[in-house]
Order: sequence, then C-alpha cells, then structure tokens
Amino acid sequence: MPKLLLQTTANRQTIVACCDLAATHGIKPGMTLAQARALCAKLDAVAWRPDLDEKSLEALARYLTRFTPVVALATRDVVETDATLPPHVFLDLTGCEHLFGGLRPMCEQIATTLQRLRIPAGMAVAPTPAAAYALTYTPLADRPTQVAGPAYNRTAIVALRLPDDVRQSLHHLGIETIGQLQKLPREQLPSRFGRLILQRLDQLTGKIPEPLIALPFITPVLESLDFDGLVSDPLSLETIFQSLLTKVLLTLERRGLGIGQLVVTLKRSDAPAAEFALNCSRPSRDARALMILYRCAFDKLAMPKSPHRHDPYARNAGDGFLSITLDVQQARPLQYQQVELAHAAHAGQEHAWQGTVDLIRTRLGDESIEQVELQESYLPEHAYKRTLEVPAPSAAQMIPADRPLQMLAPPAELRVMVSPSHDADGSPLSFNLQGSVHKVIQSVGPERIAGQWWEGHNKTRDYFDVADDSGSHYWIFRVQETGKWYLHGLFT
Amino acid sequence: MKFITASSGKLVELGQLQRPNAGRQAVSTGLDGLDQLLGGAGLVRGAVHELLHPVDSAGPMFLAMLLARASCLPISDPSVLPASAIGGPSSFAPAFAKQLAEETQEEQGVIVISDPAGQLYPPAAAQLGIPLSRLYLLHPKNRADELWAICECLGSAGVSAVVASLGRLSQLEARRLQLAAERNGSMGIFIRPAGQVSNVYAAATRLLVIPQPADASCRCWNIQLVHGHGALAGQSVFLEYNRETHSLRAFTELADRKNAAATTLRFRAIA
Repeated sequence: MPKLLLQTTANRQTIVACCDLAATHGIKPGMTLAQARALCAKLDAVAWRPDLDEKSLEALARYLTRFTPVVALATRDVVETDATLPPHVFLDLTGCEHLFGGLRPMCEQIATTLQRLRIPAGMAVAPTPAAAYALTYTPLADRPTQVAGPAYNRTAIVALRLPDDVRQSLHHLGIETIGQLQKLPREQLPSRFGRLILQRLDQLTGKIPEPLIALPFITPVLESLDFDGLVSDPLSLETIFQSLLTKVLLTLERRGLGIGQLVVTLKRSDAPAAEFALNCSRPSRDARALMILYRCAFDKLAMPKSPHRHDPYARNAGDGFLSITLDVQQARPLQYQQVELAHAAHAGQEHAWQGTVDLIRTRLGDESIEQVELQESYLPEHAYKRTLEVPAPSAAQMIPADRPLQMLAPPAELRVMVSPSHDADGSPLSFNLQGSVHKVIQSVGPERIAGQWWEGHNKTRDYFDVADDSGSHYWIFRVQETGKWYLHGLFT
Repeated sequence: MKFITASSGKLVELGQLQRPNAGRQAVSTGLDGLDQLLGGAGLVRGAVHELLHPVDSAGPMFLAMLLARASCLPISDPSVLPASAIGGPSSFAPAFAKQLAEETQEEQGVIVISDPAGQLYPPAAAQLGIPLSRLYLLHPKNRADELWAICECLGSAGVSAVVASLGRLSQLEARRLQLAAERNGSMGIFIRPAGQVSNVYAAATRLLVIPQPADASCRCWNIQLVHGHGALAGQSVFLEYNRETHSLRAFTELADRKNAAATTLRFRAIA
C-alpha cells in the first residue's frame, strides 16, 4: 500500500512526503489528502513528525562518527536548518583519510554504508562545507578534476542554502543557477537579497571560513564485571548489580542525567547471553526503584517461560552466569519539578505511581498497562485507541451517545426474532444467546451507523438497546446488507 | 462503654473499642440514598469493597465505575484543605485561601481497571465522567499476574481506586489485597459473582447488585447491603440511570419512585 506522511494545518491535510509506490500513482508532496485519494483509493497515511526526522538524522550522524570524530548537523551561522532544505550532514575528513587508505576508498566506504542503510544521498568532498554542499547539486560533468577547480555555472541556486523567500525572489527574476547569480553586480546583491547571499557566495569559494559545530561526543555509561567462576545465586548477582549500579548512578549524577533505559546483559557459559532492559518512564536516579525493577526483570528471566526443551531459558535455568554488564542506553536530564503549595501532598504520589507503572511494565510487558485516547469516529470500535503515554486532557473530543461499558470484540452472532417477521427493518422480539432465549421487554432504536466506505467497510449497522425480562440491557445490531444479528455490548 | 474479654482464664478489660474504619477518610458517592446505605458518609478509603452480582447476569460495571469516579473526585468540602498544605487558614488572605481551595479541587489519584479480556469500552467510561488522563487499563495474561498487578496498584500511592472482576479467592489472597488497599488508602472495588464462589472475602462492604426492569429511558438496579459496618445490612436501595438526561438517582422504595425527591447527580463529560 502506498505510504504518505501528512501534515495537518487546521482542517487541511497536506502531503509532506510519499513513497516511490505512491509517486507512481502520480501523488506528489504538496497535494492534499483528498487529491491523493482521488488518484489512489487505498493509502496508508501517517502524521508527519518533524521531531522524529531530526532524531533519525542525529542517529545517522552519530553512526557516521565511525569515519571521523567531527560530524556536524549544522554550521555556526546556520544553527537552525531551514525545513525546506533537504537534510544534510557534514563530515570533517581532515586527517582521517589515511586510516581508510586514502580519500577515494574512504568515500566509497561511506557510500556503501549509506547504501546498506538504504539512504539515498548525494555525497561530495570539498575544502569547505559550502563547496561540498554545492557540489552535491552540481552536474557530474562540472565536478572538479585534478586540473581545474569546480564550476558552479550550472549548479542550482538551492545549493547556496538560502532562506526560502530569497530563493523565491531569485526564481521570480529568472535566476536559477549560481553562475547567473555570479554575473550580477556584487555590490547590489546585499541591498536586494540581504547580507546572507554574499556570505554564502564567499563561503563557497573559501573567502570566509565556515566552522562546523560538531556533535558532542557522549561517553557511554557502561559498567561491567567478569566473574572468576559461574555465579548462579540470585542474591549474589543482586549484590553485584547493586554495586555496579552505584557506580553508574555516580557517573550520571556528575552529568546531571537520569536513567531512561538501562540494559543489563548477563553472559552464560553455554547459551546466548540473557539481556533485559529496565525502562523508566521518567528519568530516574532512584537506586531503590531500579533495584525493584531489576528484581522483577530477573525473576522473569530465571523462571522458565515454557516447559519446552528448546527454550534456552528453561534448559539453562540452573546454570550460572559469567559476567554482568550495565549499559545506560538512554540517559535524559533529570526533571526537577517545583512542588506547588496546594499539591504538596500529591507530588510524591504521582512519582510513586509512575514507579508502579514501570514495575508492571517490566514484569508483565509494555502492553500490560495502558491508557486510552478518544478518537473522532462514529464506528464504536474506532472511537478510541490505546496509548502508552498519558493522553492530553485538553483535547476536545467527541463523546458518543449512550454506549455500553462492556464491548465484545468481535461481536457475537445472535439468532433474533423480529416483528413483523418478514420485515428487514423490524425491531427485535426475542433473541437466543448461548442457548437461552431472552424475551425483549423494551427496545430502543435503531441507531444507524454507516460503515467507513473509504476504508473498505461498506456494511451499515442498525443498533438497538434491548432489555430482557430480567432487567439486563444488551446492545445488539443488525447488518443491513446481510440481515444477520450480532451482540456487540452489555450495559452492565 | 466497657468491653471485657476472657484471655487464658483471666478477665481482661479492653480499652475504648475502635471502629475498624475509624479515622479513615470516606468518599461520598454523590447519591444520598446510597451514602445512607453505606453508613452515612459513603465508602471508606483504604479498604476493599465488593459488588456481587447474580451468576446469570453480567458484573455491575456501571456501579463500579460510579464508585471509582467518586473516589478520584475532589474533596467534597472546599473549606477542608489538606493539613500539609497550610499552617492554618487564618494565616492566609481570604482570596489566596479561596484560590488554594480551588486548586485542591482537581481530581486526585488514578483509576486502574483490570481488563484481562479487553472488553471495557473506555468512551463509555469517559461519558460517565471518568477523566481518561487518569484512567489506566491493566491487561494481565493470567490470574497470577492479575492478582500481583492488582496488589501492586492497590498498594501504590497516587491510586484512588482499582476495579477488577475476581472469581474465587483464597483466604491469603483476599487478605493480601485488603492489606495492599490499607497501605496507602486506595480503594479496591471488586466485582464478584454471588454465592459459593465468593464466600471467602476480606471486604469492608459487600453490595449485591441485581438489575431491575425499568422504563424504556432508564436502567435500574437494586443494591442490597450484604455486609458492612453498621446496622443497615440487609437493606437496599434502587439506583436509576436515565439514559436520555444522563442523570442518576437513588431511592429506597420502588413504588413511589415517580414522586420520590431523590438526589439527582448529573454527569459531566470529561475527556
């Protein structure tokens, strides 16, 4: 199914990006969702999250530190990148090329790495960042050779990293390449297009330096201990964990950080290493809470999950461990909250509850405790979605009419007598549920809910709130197209 | 009043007899009729309350939600401020004291609902006025996990109520749940089938809830106090919910319910 990224502004849904498959249908970024649906009915549209884009770009940049220690997402005068420009990463290769056998083999390795990650990217090497950026936009024939320097005559203006409005005004004047721009009188440019344009042109030729802001190198917080023999006693392991945790917390305290995720790896002698993660919903340096999480996760690990002999945990439940490693995978700044006078009593409670949620998630899995968010949909089963985070309380949401508290998924099929019996629109008289006949005393309805035809649900349901002679209320529906009856919920 | 007991052949005078729930904060259900059945003040915090239902009908989720909602509502009397918040009311200017009172009116604690089968319909809970930002759903995979998770939630600070459907409990399990609820003052609301299955319990209050036939626009339940501290055991009230006006009332006599001046509680939808 073609995939799209959507940006919603007021009630206009604009496409930000689309996959290749969507492009073959003629869908382009900038279209509205309705236009795209007209071209291809079945689309997988997801809300665009620029923060995730930034995160993955940073992750890529960090990955590229294997080639050079200086990797930058921005230069000093462009701290905030323009969202309309394609994302870019600068690598300072100075002094690193000999480690890879020269510049060309190094570039080939970087290109292979990007290819393996399936990231389509243009790549160029130049003495200045601006020149390297511009070269990625330069036609291959104009790229520099050993003899002559680069020629930017045919390079698109976008290569200068100018703001959108400047690019637009240059476009209106018919200036599309750097060559055309360079032919204009230099002294008139700042008054017409701002000071940045000259700066960019000078950076291109290297007249003005453009320092890179390298990503700060973060030393991983990692503590480990190798045992001289096999250790299988949970209490001994706990003591070792505690002493290592103290060291980890001390390091984090110096940096002002708290643990977001701590991965504990226990190596075994003859089986794959056991690994579990302790997740904190809020960054934490609370040793007691982390110890409780550790105990929970360790219990789950030591207990054989299934009696099958193939299960590595079951087979090696009695064996010991060779080493333990504590690796802080996520560390975030500790949030200090000012305790409000009126909520002094509740501040600690909130914290305690978050600890309990972490504990339940560690032992029973992430999906074992969830929250819900309302969604605007008339279809009862689509009116909410589950979430792991606290839903925003302010979001004005549609609250549906009277709905049962207990809903069956999927609805159970019923045999219903209707009156008049030949009528497809009749109201129910009695129904048969699990072998017992319930006589309908009252029925309220029908409430007609049409299917979401654009999602492929074409069936229309007629819902009735029926009460039987015992006073129990049921929410049943008839599918108009097939005439079949189903029990969907119980008003309990 | 003096209490005397015999212990290993000697008569011993007991001190002032403490009521089991003395000193614990009670939560009004918002319905006078129901509050009176529960001893005047409503349900006590830090205890387990059981809602029993006939085996052939479904568990009274509606009443459970109503009680859970009451447990996370603000302190009923705005003049009562938490002792930790202020040194004394007179030390504050009236306007500030009023503002402080308003701020403490926010909902407190979270509601946890154990829903192993995934059958709870949260929009209906939201419609009953349960704030979804404070609602957590538990999805345990087996009974042991469920009991463990319920115990953890009940014992955690910051939880106002835990709602769960429980079947048979051992003496140990029932006691464990009771102690967990007492630890931090949260309320356990357990839905259990009436009869042999639920004859082991450690609940402060047990209510038998039986659905009743009613008008087309209403749903009605008969709520009987099976066990509770007070002399009202065996008495019952009727609870009626009007699905059109979204109003609730509790009254003692079914015969005069048309004329009864019962408390009406209107739901406010909170998303």
